Amino acid sequence: MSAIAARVARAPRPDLTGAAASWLALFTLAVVASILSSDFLDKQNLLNIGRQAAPLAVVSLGQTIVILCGGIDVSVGAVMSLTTVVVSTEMNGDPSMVIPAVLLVLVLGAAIGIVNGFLVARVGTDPFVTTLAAMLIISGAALVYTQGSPTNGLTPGFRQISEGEVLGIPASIFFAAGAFVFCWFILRRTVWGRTIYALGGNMRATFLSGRRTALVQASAYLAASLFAVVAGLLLAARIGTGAVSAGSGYELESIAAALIGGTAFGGGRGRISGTIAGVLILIVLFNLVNLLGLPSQLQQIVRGAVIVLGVAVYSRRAVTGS
Amino acid sequence: MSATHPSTRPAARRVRRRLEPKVRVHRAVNRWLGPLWVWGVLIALVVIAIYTVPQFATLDNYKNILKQAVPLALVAIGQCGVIILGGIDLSVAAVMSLGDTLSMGIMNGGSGSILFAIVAPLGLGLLIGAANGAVVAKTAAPAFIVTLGAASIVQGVVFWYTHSAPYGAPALSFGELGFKEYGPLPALVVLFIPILALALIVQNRTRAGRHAYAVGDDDQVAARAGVNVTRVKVATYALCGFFAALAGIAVATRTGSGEPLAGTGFDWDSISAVVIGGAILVGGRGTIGGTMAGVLIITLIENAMTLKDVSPFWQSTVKGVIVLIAVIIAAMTAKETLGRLLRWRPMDAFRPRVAARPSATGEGGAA
Amino acid sequence: MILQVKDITKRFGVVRALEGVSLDVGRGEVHALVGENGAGKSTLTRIIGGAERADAGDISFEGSSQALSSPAAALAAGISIVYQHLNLSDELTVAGNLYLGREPRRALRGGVDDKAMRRAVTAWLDRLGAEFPADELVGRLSPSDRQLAEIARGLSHDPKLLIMDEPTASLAPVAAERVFAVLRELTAAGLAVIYITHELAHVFDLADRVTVLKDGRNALSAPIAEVDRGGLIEAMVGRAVEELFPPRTQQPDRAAAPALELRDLTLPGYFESVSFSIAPGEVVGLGGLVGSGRSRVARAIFGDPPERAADPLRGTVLVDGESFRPRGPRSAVKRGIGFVPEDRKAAGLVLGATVADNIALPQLERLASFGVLRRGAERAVAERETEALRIKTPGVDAEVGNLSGGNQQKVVLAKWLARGCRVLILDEPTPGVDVGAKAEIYLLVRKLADEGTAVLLISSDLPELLGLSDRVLVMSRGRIVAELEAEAATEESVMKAAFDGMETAPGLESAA
Repeated sequence: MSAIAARVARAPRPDLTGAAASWLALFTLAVVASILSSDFLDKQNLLNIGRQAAPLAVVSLGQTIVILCGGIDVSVGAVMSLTTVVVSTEMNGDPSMVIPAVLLVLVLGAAIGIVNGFLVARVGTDPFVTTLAAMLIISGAALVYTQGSPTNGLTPGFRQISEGEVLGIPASIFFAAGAFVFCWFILRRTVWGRTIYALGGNMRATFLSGRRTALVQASAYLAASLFAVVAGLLLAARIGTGAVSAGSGYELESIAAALIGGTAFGGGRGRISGTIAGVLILIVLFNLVNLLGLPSQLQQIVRGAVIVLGVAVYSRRAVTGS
Repeated sequence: MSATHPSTRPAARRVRRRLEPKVRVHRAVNRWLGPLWVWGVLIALVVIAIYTVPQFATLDNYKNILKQAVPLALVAIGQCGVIILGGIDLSVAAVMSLGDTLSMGIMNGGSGSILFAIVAPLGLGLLIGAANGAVVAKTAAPAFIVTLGAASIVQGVVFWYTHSAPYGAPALSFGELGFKEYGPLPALVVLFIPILALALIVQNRTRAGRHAYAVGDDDQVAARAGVNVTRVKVATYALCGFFAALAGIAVATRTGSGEPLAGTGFDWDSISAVVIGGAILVGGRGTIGGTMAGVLIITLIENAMTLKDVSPFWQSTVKGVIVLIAVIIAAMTAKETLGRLLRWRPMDAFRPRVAARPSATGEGGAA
Repeated sequence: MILQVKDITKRFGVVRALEGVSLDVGRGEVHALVGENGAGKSTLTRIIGGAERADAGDISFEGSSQALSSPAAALAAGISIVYQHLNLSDELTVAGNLYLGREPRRALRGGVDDKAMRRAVTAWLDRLGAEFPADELVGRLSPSDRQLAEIARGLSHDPKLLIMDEPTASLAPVAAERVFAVLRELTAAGLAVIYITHELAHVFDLADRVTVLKDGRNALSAPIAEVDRGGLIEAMVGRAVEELFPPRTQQPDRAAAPALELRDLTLPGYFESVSFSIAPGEVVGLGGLVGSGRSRVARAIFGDPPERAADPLRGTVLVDGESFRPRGPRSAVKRGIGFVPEDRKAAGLVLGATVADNIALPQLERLASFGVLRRGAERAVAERETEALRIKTPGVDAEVGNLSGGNQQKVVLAKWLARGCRVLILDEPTPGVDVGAKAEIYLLVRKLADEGTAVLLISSDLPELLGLSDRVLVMSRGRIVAELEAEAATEESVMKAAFDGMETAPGLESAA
């Protein structure tokens, strides 16, 4: 009964719980921020926000793909950390090593993603624990690899991918925008993307329609890992060093960005434009706390509160049968 | 239709009578100890360590392992309850740090306020847990996000309270607790045993324990049977917060001051212990007994690696591999899941497989 | 009379589930409630159990109407329901389940009184002749034993009125006899029972009165002595045959090579030695009671697994004369087999996705070049199909979950029509679909057959089965027990074959 009532009520209204709501929230937040702090709309500050948002945006895009197909990947933060240390160590200040180092981390990321995907999609392990174990293993590997000390082998040329400017805009923003366009294309315009959505919406119906459910599900984890590697590269270029804890926190923030952006936990619904809004909401809030000169401990409290509140308010339940 | 009397089928009763003792023992063992193979793994590890790790097989080292295991065991008890519910609590590490620093801060070297220094963190832990439980029960937000956000908040409070530096000091009598021994057992272990007993009783002998399993298995079935699902969730998360704070206080007995990061790593470690102990994250399964085996396995490996002078950097990797093995075993032995159906290959599945119909006495492994 | 139901009516939206239904149950009486699927039996039980409210009419239990205001109130008043769908927690023991939510406590020490629970439950298990102990985990019981545990739970509430919805559907025959014996003892002591079943033999064994529901109305209510089997079947199925079914214009060419042929297909535990063939352009109906193994056969052809397949699938499947190994839906789809599954919400549709997305799902490759979807082609297909099938939707971008049942079902059909199939398997194509949409779906199926598709139709709706099929096969206990030409088949002959099969076939205990 109530289902029918809800159907009638829902049809004509625009979807206010999805991506659109997140953009509205972001806009409101920006207005509030500009009132609270006169520095907020300063060009340098806005570019700074963009620079900060770029790695989170890239990793959140990959995370969104995994969540869309009904999974979760908590190893992305560790993959980012690993990327920063491996790329800076292998590069070791030699410009000719930039490309081999980048290729190496991409291969590493792909391997991690394939293992995660295989375990979840074929062996049937729980995605959370599986990627948690991957996180522990990768973090340990990064520690062993660096013996715990930060690595400083990034060449100035490499750092340009974050610090360089094109038309006055940081290069990393272009990378993030490219990742967004690519992600939008594969999710919205390809057989693969359509299958990802269908999988998260109803795995059984997708399977009975003759789709390769296991393969596509596994490939989502591969995508998440590769996006995390790219995010790690942007992060390394921004902070200028490789550190085993560089990426910690990104797993939580990427998941929060996706959920705040209207992607349903459990899969099937969501738009990556919402994820970008989620990323910007988080970064603007962090930035605002910074601008207001709040102590760093308070910043952390606000971060946590923002994530809990945002996710509690914006979370949508996945649509399931009956 | 055959005869309407007598009112019992003697044959069936005989079958049941024969099964009854086996099943009862099997159930009791499973409920109180958890899957036996985990204990088997633990024993095997002990044997291997005795032969390969120098200085492992000493009384002091055993005491050390037990003492080290207590804080993790406390956190894992709470975590186990939450995972049985089908949830997860990633705020335990931060709550532990809070428990540690707050009790030290209140004591601050004096012995006048020991009681308050213990009660206040516990109450706060209970409150934080209850808040987690309420949000998880009442919104669509996934548990790990809610609790991870809570972790960030609580850790921020700890940093603010301690100014990000070691803070406070234990009362003299309190600090001794960490090093005192009663006979062959460290004081911490002696204090822990009644707590463990109580937790086991709650798990196995109370309505609350039963209801947690029912909610974790299928909260709608539980609700239809008259279980108050929200109350069960809030109470379980609250207890988890309580145990995390208690673990923080336990850590405080061994350190000279409150460490703002005292709990770091205990979130993942406690989940690992519970998963190694045979629980599954979708809920309904898991035992405190199995969790204790998981705690001992983790502690033993850390201890052995330290004694062997293995770089501490390897520890995380090794733990990850153990969790991965545990989760793969869980997936292989789990009941039919949708995922497994989807990967079905008729010709493979049609190969004769034993035990399509679970027998009453079947091997219980990771069940 | 302990329960009096008078003229109750219940609507779900525009669907009328119950219309002026009356039912009286006296103390000590076993009242059988029979009728086809969708006749309103389950709705009626839900109203009596307090889970639903009737829109109109009077209902009273022991003279009070208050008892039925909520499930808890109904239970407290002494109404206990044994549901068809199991309602037990796998991770608790049998005893834990029976007392879930009302565990006895020990007076002094607190905590759950396991001994008392075990004692009480064991007494019930003894009485029901169960072979499993009270301490066993429910997750480890066989389906039959689970059902028995569920019945024990219903009885353990010590009810005045016990409602049993298909209690013997997955019960082994020996266990069923025990349950009947216990019910007889308890009714002799005053328990009233409403017994819902498809198995007519049980009705005559057990019931004192029988009420037949048909399309949400009372079709018959009489003491058991006054009705016979034939009369009961007639009351269940006899209805004015509506002109829903398109005429068979073309004779299928049975001389041609069959589009689908099964030779001795056997899946131990589910079905045995199933052989039949379908000519191109032929609609073959597969009838029988729920649980007779019909759906399993269909799913085996499509490569969709049963939950527990202990033994290999044996026998041969031929598509267009070529041997076909069911490896999974993907290979079946490639060979031109389409499958409309039984439960459209759980298995047929991605409810959160749009109409266009759902229609495109089985043919994404065809609508794409190098993995990139051609949006124009995708939309064109979706629009063509929604128009051809007259799917009422605001547009192809509407979410399928927001459409009515009939239109949802049309979308499932559109998935396969858009792709084009050699063989189309329909498993219960019209439950919850209104008459207008039904007629349209029938027309589509007939048109498809006329274009040369072989159709395998599984349906519990007898008029549908007879009206649409060229030939009807009847399954019972995992075997095909009758083959009837459309002209010769009547609802009575199909039901008779199905029920006779229940009693005589040596086949499987239960193929559900």
